[in-house]
Amino acid sequence: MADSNKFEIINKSESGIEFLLLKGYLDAHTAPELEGAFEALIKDGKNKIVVGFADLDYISSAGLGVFMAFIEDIRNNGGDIKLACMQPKVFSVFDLLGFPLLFEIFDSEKEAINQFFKEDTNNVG
Amino acid sequence: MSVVIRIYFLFNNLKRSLLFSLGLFLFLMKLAVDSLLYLFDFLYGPWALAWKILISLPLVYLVFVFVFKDFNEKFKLQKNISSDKYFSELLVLLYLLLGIIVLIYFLPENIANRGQTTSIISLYIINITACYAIIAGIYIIRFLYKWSLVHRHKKTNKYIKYLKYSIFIVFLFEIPNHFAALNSSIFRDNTGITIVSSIIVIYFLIIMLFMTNRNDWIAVLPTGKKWRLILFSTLLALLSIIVLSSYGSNSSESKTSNALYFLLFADTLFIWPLFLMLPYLLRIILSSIGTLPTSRIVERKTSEVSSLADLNRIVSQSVNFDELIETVTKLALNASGAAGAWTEIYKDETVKIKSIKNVFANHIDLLHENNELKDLFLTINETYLIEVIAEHPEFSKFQWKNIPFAKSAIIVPLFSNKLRMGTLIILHQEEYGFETSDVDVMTAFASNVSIALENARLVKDSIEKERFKRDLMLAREIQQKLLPQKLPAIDNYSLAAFSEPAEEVGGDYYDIVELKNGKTCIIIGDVSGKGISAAFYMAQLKGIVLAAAHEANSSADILIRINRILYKSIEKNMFITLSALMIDDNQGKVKLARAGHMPFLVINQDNSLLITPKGIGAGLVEDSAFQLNIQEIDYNMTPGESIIMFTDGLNELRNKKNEDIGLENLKQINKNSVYNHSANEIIEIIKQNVVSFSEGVSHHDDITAIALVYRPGEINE
Repeated sequence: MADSNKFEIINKSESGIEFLLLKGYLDAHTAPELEGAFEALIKDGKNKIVVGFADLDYISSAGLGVFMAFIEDIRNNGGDIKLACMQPKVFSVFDLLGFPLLFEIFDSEKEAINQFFKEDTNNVG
Repeated sequence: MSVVIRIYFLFNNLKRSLLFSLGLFLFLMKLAVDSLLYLFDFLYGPWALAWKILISLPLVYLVFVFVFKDFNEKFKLQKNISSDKYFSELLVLLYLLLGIIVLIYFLPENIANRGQTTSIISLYIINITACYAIIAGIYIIRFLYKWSLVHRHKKTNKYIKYLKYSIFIVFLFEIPNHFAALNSSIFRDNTGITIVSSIIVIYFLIIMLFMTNRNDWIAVLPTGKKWRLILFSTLLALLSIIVLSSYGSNSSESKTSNALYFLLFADTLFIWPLFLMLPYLLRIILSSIGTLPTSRIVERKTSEVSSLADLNRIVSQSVNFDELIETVTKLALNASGAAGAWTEIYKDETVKIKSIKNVFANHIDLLHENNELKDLFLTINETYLIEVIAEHPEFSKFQWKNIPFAKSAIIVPLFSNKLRMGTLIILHQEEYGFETSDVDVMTAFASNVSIALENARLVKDSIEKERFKRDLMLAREIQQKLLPQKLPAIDNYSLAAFSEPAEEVGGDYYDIVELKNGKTCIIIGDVSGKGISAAFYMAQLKGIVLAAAHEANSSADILIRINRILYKSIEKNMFITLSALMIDDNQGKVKLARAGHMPFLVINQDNSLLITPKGIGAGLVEDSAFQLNIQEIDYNMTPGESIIMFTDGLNELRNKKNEDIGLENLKQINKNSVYNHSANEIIEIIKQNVVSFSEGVSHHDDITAIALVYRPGEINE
């Protein structure tokens, strides 16, 4: 087993949407960090979240589980977790599992933001 | 008297008794013949000289053998010769010299070098003196030789060699002297000889001074013994000088030298060693005086070292906490010359006073009245010296007056595994009573205690770990039984499988079940995660699969039923990927369904491909969504074609460079020479590929693979 692979989360706020940019390896060791990040955002009442996968090299089943743990509550509060900028290898893991049927996966952060705005206008309207 | 006892023991040995008797006999012979010669007035002629030489040689030889008997063996046997032996041998020398001085006193005044004597009694005394001198001289040589070797340095052997050769030459000089004495005393007064003698004297002086270079053994003697050494050595030196001066520079008139002439080699063997002993004694005396001032410190250091050695010994032997604390406190007291000490241990919020030395427990309790002392101790993280308790800004506040000898103190914090677990306090009855070295020793003590406690803890942990390992191995055995122990034989098909968890237990699962319609279905599953928690779900899964199989009629059907049950019971962040292959008939028709799992790998003669039916992982969505998204694919296997189901541990297998195989490579690896092989052979090939690809790196995820080959005409037992 590779020794403690590096994992990093960069927080960003833009247009009322929270970004979690993931970097490195998301596995059983580092999944708790992502859990903590989600918990912090939920506590602050932020439920419009985009997760950026541009710099994520690997994700394991533990990492996938983290998304499943929080998505129901976030959606119940009118928010969502959208996924963006996946590398092909990471995307194929999500794809095989059937995640595209559960989460919206975009090629760019911009598209994800736009989707949130669209949903807002739909809700208001 | 120890000397008398020693002489007794000299004769204990049979051989020595023989030597002694022989020597005595020879000596008595000399006396007898000398008496005859005296009576007949032939004492000073050439016959007398011949007789002298004849009798002296064996006598000297015998004495040599007697004194040096067993020297080498005894010397090698004694590994650590103590300084007490040195003192006793020094004492013997003192007595020997005293004896000689007494004898010289009784020598008649007018012995010319021709040996003219007044009476036969004088003749005997002279002979006894000469013989005694030889014995004493050889004993002195033995003493110097032995102790130069015991306190040797690099060049000792070299110097001993020089001395041996030089003394041999000096001996050679002696013989012509005796011939010359027959005729005149002129030979002795010759200035030429005097110059040569002077050079030889200086040469020997220098060698002796260099031989006694290493005197460390004196430095570590206790003060009492040093004074004893100075006393004995000075006495011995004085006696030697007395004898030597009676030998005199004007040797032709000295009665001593004339007496010694009565036996060949008597004066060389006596005077030279005596002379060589002087520089030796001089160095001993100077070293002793020189190291007197630092005696106290040396004694202190020695006792510190032995205290630390004691502590080390106890620490390595006992794993008992209380015993350890008791010993530490006691040794700390001894090593530092302190008046009192105690150790306190902090557990939870309490202070427990353990192992008190010379202090009343209630006085310590008074100090700890309001827990402030403990808090103060906790702020100290290194050995801390309080020179004057009464003047210390913080410590003086406490009730020290109950303990009269608490004038200064050393506070030693005790740690175990980086946690502060207690404090050792030692008290001195004088202000400034402790020295810097005491603080160092205490620090060393404290480290040793930490190490010992660490050891005890590690031993306990290790025992526990062994227990866990045994439990896990047991769990592994049980989990292995959850997987099919024997695969069913299916007509026209060949089936084989293997599964290896990454740790002792894992989350991979597979089974061959019979559906409601009687058809065989192969199921493979992978619980998210690995290790013990995945293993628990894997065990649950078996039950769920069997229940679902009871009602299902196809691959997709069984997966839907499994999901229905799982979704309600599994945790939000967990899921199980599954694939199901139902063997529809025995002509190669199969139905494939996949719930988030790895694709099916199909290998036939020409190519290999991946079949990926749509489907979400089980436990992620509720029934209707799952059913909406699951796809069942019908596939017709051609003869020799194989379908391989596997878990992602296989394609994510990593080598030393941390690259994984990847799905594409998996297609390549298995394509070659897999066509139409039996399932067993295919599984073997996969296993070998796993081993060779990983290059010794252990796999980080559970690996499972099932191979199904369509081989019409193959009847399996």
